Amino acid sequence: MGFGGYVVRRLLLVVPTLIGVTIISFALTHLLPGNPALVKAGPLATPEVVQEIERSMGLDRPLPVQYWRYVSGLLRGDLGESASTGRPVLEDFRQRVPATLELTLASLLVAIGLGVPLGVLSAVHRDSVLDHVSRVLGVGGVAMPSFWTGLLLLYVFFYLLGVAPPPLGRLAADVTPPPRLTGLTVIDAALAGHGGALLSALHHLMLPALTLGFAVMAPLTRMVRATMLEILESDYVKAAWAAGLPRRRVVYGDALRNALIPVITVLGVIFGFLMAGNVVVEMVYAWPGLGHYAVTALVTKDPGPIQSFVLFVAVMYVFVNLAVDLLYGLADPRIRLR
Amino acid sequence: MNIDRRSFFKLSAGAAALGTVGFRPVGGAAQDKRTIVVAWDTDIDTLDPAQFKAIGGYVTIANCYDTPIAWKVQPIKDKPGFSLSRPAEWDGAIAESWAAERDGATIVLKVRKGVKFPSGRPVTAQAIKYCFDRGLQSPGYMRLLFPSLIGVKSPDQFEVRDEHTFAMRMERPNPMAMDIIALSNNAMIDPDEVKPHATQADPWAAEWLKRNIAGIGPYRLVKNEPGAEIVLEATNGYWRPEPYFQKVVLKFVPNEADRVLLLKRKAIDMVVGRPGLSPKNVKSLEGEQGLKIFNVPDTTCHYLAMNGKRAPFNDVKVRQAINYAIPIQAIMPNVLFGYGTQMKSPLPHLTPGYSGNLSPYKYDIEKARQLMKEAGVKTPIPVKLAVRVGYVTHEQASVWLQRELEKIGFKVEIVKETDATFRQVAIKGDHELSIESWQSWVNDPWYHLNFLMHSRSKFTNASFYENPVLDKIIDESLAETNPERRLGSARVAQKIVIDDAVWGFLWYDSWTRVMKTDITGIEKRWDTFERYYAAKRT
Repeated sequence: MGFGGYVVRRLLLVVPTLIGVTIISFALTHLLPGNPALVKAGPLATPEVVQEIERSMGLDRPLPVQYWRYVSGLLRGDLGESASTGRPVLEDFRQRVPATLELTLASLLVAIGLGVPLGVLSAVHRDSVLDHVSRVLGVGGVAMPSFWTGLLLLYVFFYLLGVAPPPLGRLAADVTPPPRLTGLTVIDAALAGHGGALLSALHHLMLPALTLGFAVMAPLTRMVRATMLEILESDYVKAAWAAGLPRRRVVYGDALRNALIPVITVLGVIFGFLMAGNVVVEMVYAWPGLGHYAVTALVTKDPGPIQSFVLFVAVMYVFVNLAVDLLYGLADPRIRLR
Repeated sequence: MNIDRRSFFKLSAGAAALGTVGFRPVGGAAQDKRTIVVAWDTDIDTLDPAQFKAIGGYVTIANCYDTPIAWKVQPIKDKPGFSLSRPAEWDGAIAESWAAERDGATIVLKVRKGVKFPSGRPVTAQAIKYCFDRGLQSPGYMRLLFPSLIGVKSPDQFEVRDEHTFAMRMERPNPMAMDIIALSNNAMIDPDEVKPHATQADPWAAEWLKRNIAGIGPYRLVKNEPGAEIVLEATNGYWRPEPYFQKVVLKFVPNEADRVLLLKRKAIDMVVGRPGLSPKNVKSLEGEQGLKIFNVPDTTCHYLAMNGKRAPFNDVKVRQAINYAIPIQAIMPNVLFGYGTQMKSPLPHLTPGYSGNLSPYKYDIEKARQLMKEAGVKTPIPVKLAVRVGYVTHEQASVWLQRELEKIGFKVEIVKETDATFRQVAIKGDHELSIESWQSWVNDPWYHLNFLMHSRSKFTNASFYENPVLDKIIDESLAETNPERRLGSARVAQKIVIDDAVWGFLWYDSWTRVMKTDITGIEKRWDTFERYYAAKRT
């Protein structure tokens, strides 16, 4: 079977995975303690009012019926309604997913842009000051909770130095937002050729992306360093040294290219870290993505948003892993896709 | 992909430069004087005036809709720029005047002439009737409050006498009627705009009004992006003089530490919400250059609910012992930092009829131990103390309580629950001890006691207190018009609740707002939610 067939088969395998995810996310919301109808009814409610709301939310029906209503709604694109915003969950997601994606992608770029060079340099200059600094940075990124790093960066760059924008959204108040195409402000602004908005969007993205990127950078750096060390000891690199090839070409040409292959594998893992880290970083920077939305939904046990959030993360995972597998096959011809 | 060291450093230097150069300094610089920017952490849950639960919904409705009459606010001595409402004082709004008939059993509202909805249609007595009819019959607060508190059970009791005269006929005179009319739930919606959206299944267009504002008020909602911002703009051709602030921007900032930094950097004008800032953070902003704090006592009650249906809290001696063990003298400075008042009665200290001298309770651990001994309960008693996640003052107070309660024979486990769990467990009667809070929109002793102490108030009487004598007093007093008798029996009721130690009495909140020094015209009403109409920048 060729490459195309492999992709189709993988995509078909997504279906049972997603069915499993809907069952789990549905079960999850029903296993959690708390009655969403009570929250919705408010403090002055009477038992009759709560019953009425339970009926309107379908909470009085048997679980299989509720599950069927949920899934059939899902197929129609109806994800339910959020109690905290009063809007269809789909509308909330349309507004928030791009913000989360933008932050995730930017953090991924930060992590790669800082993590890979650091890994390479610390392998090449093994046990030098630089290697130690990179190790400390890596450990620090993992050890320091991102809400703390985030606050620290805000305190220094926003409060003390005044070079970062206030944590009040994705654009400065006096900048007209670019026309919405992708919802990713940076890309929309670039596409519209709106320089002011582009700068403002990057400016607002700077600290959140740095915070989140820093938190997930460590595994990447360690992975690049380890493979790089291994490769630098390998026969073909030794042969290249012996042949008198320039150091630079050996390290950054032959060795680095091969060291980057495992990085693709780590990306899947890093993506998971990013999704989890998002929730915290979005809170700290008032970034209007899915993070705070999901937390509020959990606290008030709002079924629509919780189920949709779980589903969204699962779908993202499935596709990222698929992409990783495909990239891997492309990057390393020794790997056969079957 | 060739990255050598030199180009890596060049790249990083470039990135750093992008971060620092080329952006003007931020924070309060180029802001329009007639725009106010405030930070909070709430969204609009619904725009239906009958149904909102979230502060975001309430504040938006209170600023976008007028009510027939409104709570009057008056300047406070020694606090220039701030105003407060006082008991039993109202202002005309959509109704320019009001009168009582049948000894007060009928309230007649005279609709102000020449007031128009944004659609251009005049505001009439028919419109008021539509709003009240809707409140009484659509799901929401008024459907409960009208019949249970002031005996309005049928839409026939709302009467249009002519184009500009509306009357509400109650079964009996009731001193709470005016306050009930002043609630923001009675928002002036435009019937002609709403009716086309009504359906058979939804005759009051609740689905449509959830997401739309259709009526008259000083502001209109121009942007609602949940989790990001809400923007209000002054209504064109409004019947009162136009407000100073043409634009109100309410920014969603979920993290309290951010709100503090934003204030300190003067990037916002004010922090609002309940509570927008914990007492500790308000304290830390005292004396901060360029900021001022508005702090007045308020009616929000915080108390330790003791489940009277469960041993050992069904024993009055145990409940009294707990009241003697509450380290209130430590909680006030260490948890509330002075931004609160000690609770000495089930009634708020600003409510008519409040008696602050009935409570014998003060921290006295010996007396508490003595009472526990008299109760004859076997110690140690394992007990769970429930608090809600994110309620900072409750979480902190629970630790102080734990320490003292363990001295008198309890083994306290603090349980933190989410809102949804907390409410469910509370209503099922499965809490033993829990820290609850309550704020009465109507500042009346019987409104308050009816919800919190009457045995029929199943969802709000968190201690499950059942006392037929008190029930009878509440029932008789709800509509008592003689002020002396009304307040006299309030004293009797407070004595009963205090002697029975129904709650562990904790504290009343202060209403605090931290803002830039140039903001003035901040008003606090009984419902605690700000209206921006009178706010100004000097």
